[in-house]
Amino acid sequence: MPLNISKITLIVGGAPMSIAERELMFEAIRRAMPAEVERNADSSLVANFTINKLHQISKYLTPMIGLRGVEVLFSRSLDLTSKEFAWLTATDPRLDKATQMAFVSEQLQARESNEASKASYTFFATFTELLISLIGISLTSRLLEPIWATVPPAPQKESKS
Amino acid sequence: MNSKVSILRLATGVPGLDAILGGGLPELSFNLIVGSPGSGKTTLAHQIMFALATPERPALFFTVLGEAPLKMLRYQQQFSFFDAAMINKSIHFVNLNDEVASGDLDQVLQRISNEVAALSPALVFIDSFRSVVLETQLQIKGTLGLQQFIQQLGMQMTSWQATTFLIGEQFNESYPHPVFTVADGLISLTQKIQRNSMVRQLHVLKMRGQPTSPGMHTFRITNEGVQVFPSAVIRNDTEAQAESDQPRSRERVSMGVPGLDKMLGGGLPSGYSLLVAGPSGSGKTILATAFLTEGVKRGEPGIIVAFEQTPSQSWNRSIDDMVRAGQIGLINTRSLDLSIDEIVQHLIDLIHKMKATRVVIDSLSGFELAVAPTFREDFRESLFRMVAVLSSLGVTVLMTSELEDRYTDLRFSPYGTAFLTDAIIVQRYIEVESSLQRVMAVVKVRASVHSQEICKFEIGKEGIIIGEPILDYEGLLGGRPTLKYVSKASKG
Repeated sequence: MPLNISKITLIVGGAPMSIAERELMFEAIRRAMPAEVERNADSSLVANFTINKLHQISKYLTPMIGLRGVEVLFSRSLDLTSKEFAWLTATDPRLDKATQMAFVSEQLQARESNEASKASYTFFATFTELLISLIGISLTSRLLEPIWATVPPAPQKESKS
Repeated sequence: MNSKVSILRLATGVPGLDAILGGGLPELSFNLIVGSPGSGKTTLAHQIMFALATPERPALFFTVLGEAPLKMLRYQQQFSFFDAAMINKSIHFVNLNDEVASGDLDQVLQRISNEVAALSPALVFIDSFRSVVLETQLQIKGTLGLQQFIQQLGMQMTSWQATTFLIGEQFNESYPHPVFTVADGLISLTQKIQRNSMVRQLHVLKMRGQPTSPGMHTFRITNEGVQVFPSAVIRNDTEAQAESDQPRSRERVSMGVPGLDKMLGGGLPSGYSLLVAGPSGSGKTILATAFLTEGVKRGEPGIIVAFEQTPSQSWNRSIDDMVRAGQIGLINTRSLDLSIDEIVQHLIDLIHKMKATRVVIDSLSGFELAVAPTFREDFRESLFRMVAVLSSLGVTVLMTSELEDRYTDLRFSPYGTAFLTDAIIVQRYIEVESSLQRVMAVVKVRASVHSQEICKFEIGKEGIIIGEPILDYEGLLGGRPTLKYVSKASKG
């Protein structure tokens, strides 16, 4: 069964933002999911994809907000995602990045691929919305652009040369 | 050919700051921005960074403990200068928490070096320096010392051709910290709280090779960021005259009140400052309105700085109409945390914008109330500077002053400001045959002949109507005049 993102409920609150902009960002995340996932491939593929993306996010954000900053964002996103996917509930919310990733990978591999895909998507969408609630859609879009290549660019204000 | 090195001065993008710095920030300088928490250090640094950074000349902003980077990004983007499109293009944020937390300054310097080498930034910011100092109190023995760290950092930044800013807290002049010696520039930000007002001030303690403006300068943080209001500087006549838009002339400006020009000796000399002093209700604001209205009729734009009545009040509709028509400018405030320099800056901007030649300040009493308590002690000196600055611009200034009628002495201003102005008109009430009447006299017009008479005046629908001089009474200034012949008869 194909992944239906419209039925996934995002849990994070925060500042109101353009629905169109938000949907575009989530669509970009969905498009980045491997095509095999939608054909009910092995859930280990979902796990690998998820861990790979987590590493990329960490690589881009750690220099700016620090490793601990990334860990708390991952941790919060995981906690919010576990409201819908209880099996993602971490035993200790203060887990470091390596332990968080190992936990997520293990849990995803243990699920059916479709459910794992939904959980993976929900996690990244939740993470994105959490970041948007903290620093706004424009800056979030700018920071996550290298990870989700199709994320629409932020409004161009820069004019200096 | 000039063989001396030419130091480029960078425009900071902070209104008012370049003037205080003596023309901008010296390129490749090593600067400190210090101040208490909440004083605006990070905002000032960000504003400078967003103004100067370009993709070709990028900025590196190192965050060190203190404020969480996410929070900093969250709150700083509320300012209009924050441009998300510049992040990771012209501006790069780097977090140094891990290196600083290790207490090993070698690691901190190495990380800074690596990042600077990789990006070749033109601007480097480290926020906050104090966090580095605190963390390195737990320094590992045998590693780089703090003094060496700062000296090496200063040297490296200059050789890397980067203009550098260290942001820190609580500058203590008695504490000979090595960084203060190494720094080329030192900008201190303070917040003064007195009663229920808070005033922000900026002080350039050091800026090598720059003719900085001494003393404390007030600044405000708004949605636009930091705006500095440089202290008004009194210029020498030659310098001021050279820069004046409207050089002083011997022309006279009409006051718009029939008969008053004659009393002033043919109108008020252009570029003069006039103090109109009188008790409440005596007609000071109406005189000021006539002065501005006359200017509009003659194509001379004016500005009113109103601290008491608002122009929309019905008695003063003519001002309101002229403001709405764009014929006169209005600065209307009842804020209680102003500095005179802030008003002067707004006034100067508006004078240039409107090419105004007439300015009314209504009134000095309201002005004093609007000024933050911390500035009230210096109100007289600040007024002196304000009048001098306006005079140097060549505008003609009319200031009103609320003056309680006292019949035992003759005063023109509660601030002792009479000597500051070039001309003085005094209005008073007198009692004649059990009725209150208004009188007006020209007390002073510098370097000009003027009327010595005391004239009755009335306020009608058309404004002030000056009557005949009162010749048959004496003791007018005592408030209870007597007919001259009665007085003589009683003596006889």
